Parts: sequence; structure tokens; C-alpha cells
Amino acid sequence: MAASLRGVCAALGRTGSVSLCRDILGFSGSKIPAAPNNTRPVPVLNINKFVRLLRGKHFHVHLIFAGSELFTNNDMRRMDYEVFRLRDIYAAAGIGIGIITMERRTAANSAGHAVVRTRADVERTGHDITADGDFIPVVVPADMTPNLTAADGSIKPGLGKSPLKGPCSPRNEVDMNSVVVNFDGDPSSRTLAHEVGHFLGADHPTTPGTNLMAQNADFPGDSFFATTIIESDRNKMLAHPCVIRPGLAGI
Amino acid sequence: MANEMTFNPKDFSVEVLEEATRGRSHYIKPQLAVVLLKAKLGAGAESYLAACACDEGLDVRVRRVAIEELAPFSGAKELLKALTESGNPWVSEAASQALGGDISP
Repeated sequence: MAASLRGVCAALGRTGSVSLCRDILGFSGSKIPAAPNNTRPVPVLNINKFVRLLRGKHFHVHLIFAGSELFTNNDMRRMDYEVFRLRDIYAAAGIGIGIITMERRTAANSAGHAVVRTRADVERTGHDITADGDFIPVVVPADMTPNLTAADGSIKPGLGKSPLKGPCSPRNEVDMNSVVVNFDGDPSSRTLAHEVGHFLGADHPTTPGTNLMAQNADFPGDSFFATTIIESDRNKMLAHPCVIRPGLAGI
Repeated sequence: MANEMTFNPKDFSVEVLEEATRGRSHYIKPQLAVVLLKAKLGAGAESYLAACACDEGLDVRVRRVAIEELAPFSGAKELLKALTESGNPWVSEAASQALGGDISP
């Protein structure tokens, strides 16, 4: 069935004057972002694939920038690329992402969480900052450096944290409502996809691997392409009872 | 569930870390580079941290981490006091906190 973009937007609940790039795909610059360097894939928008994935189970994401006045234009261009990669990583597993929205909250409106310095701060941020609705809420603090120093002198920066299974979880781990992601340059898209994976119910693997749900610390080096979603994790994600949406009909 | 990486300061040269504090690394966030530099050089990092703390051309988030890392250096107290008077509230707040105060911008 051929889909019209207007029909797809309407099926997603977006009518009137809608920018596909800004209002659906979540690019703050209202255009397809450029690759950050020549070792990274150049974004290519495949509308047919996007629509096809929306006919199946999919989810929406709401990004909240805490301390928005501290983000630079360059940060936002980079974030657009991370958003593109997030969509691409899930698309490779046949999981669609419908709408990605971006909300900017000034430091004054971020409940003191624009600056995050400790692991406890990360959890409080994920508890205090969230959004209504059934989008997956993802908080990106402007200044997040929750570093631990190990006994051997190495530094372990926290990249992100998420409540396992999100709002549907019996709160047996941490009382977080939202995913929290350290906007950390190049690894951010993997961290974003990894933490969203936790929210959707996928755990860390019990054996070392290089798939999406493995921890970065398990494979030193470039983690950028370690983004495969294995079948068992995919099944867990698609079975999530409250943020996974049924396929859109009539598009 | 959390995700983390491990960076050993020994794996990076001072030059690489200094470049990273300027945002010229794809892999090391500038704020992390400041922390790694301090871990690598210890007291020898004080002058570079002070330069970062005062550099108005640097991202204010990097300046804040440099200010925080200067807190243990007794020789940096005068500089931190001066930075509490900064016109940039993010800088003055970080300097106040580094001196043990808790003054919000």
C-alpha cells in the first residue's frame, strides 16, 4: 500500500503544519543531520522503511534537555545525529521508532539536574525529571560527569542509566521514571539506544559480547558499531506492555 | 541498569588530553579530559586547570569541571576567590562551591 506522508503524520497524531524532520523524526535543526566525521555513516532517510516499520510494533521517544541554555548549537547538531543513529539501530532489528520529540528545559526548570556529578545524582535526575504520556522519557543533562576513580587509577565515567522495564517494572532496582543519558560525544548514540533497551526490558548479557546490550566497559575500543539487537532482546522489547504500540493501520 | 566505560589516564598523552579539553577528540568528552589530565599529572596539572578555569573561550561546562578539580589545591584559592566574582553565574557558582560555599547563581 502506498503511503502519503500527510497520512502517516495523521496516523501518528500530527496534523496541520508538520515538519517531518522536526516534528516526527526529532531533528532540532529541521533537516537530516550530517555525519560528525568521515568514519561514521552518512545519514540517509528511507521513508519507505520508516513507514514499513510503523506498520509493525513501534515506540515513541521524548528527549528532555536539562539546562538547555548550556547546550551549544554544535551539541544540538551532534544530538540530531545521535537521534538518527538511535532510529537506525532499532530499524536494523525491525523495530520502528515513531515520533521523537525534543523538549528544552532551562536549568531553572530542571529541578537542579542540569549539572550531574555523582551516580546518586543520576538516579535522582531520572526520578525527578520525566514527562506525561507513553513516550519513553530520556533526560540529557547539560553537564553530566559522574566519574568514579578505580583503585588502579582508571576513571569510569557513567554513560547512562535506565530503570529496567521502565514504568512497568516492579521497582526492585532504582526508583527512576526516565532514562538518563550522558551526552558524551561519539558513544552517545550507542548509550542512548542501550539505555532505551533497558527501559524496554532488555538486560545486560550474561556472557561477554559486542551486541547493543553489552556494557561499553566489556569491550575497550570503538563501541560505535556494537549495536546489534539480538533476537532474545528484541522479543523482550516488543513484549513491553506499556510503551510498545501496535502497528499503524491504513498507512 | 547502568552503562559505563573505563579510561586509564596512562593510555593517553598529555597532548591528546589537552586537545580533548578543547573539544578536538571524537572519543573523549572535554570534561572527562580535564578529569583524566588531573588524574595523570596530579599537582602538575594545577597550572593547566587554572588556565582552563579562566579561559572565557572555553565551554563553560569544561571551565566548571576545571574549577572543581582545582578545589584541593591550596595555591588555587586566590584564583577561585577571583572567579566567584565572575560575571558568568555558572562560573561564579562553581568557584563558590569549590571554596566550600554553596552560592546559587
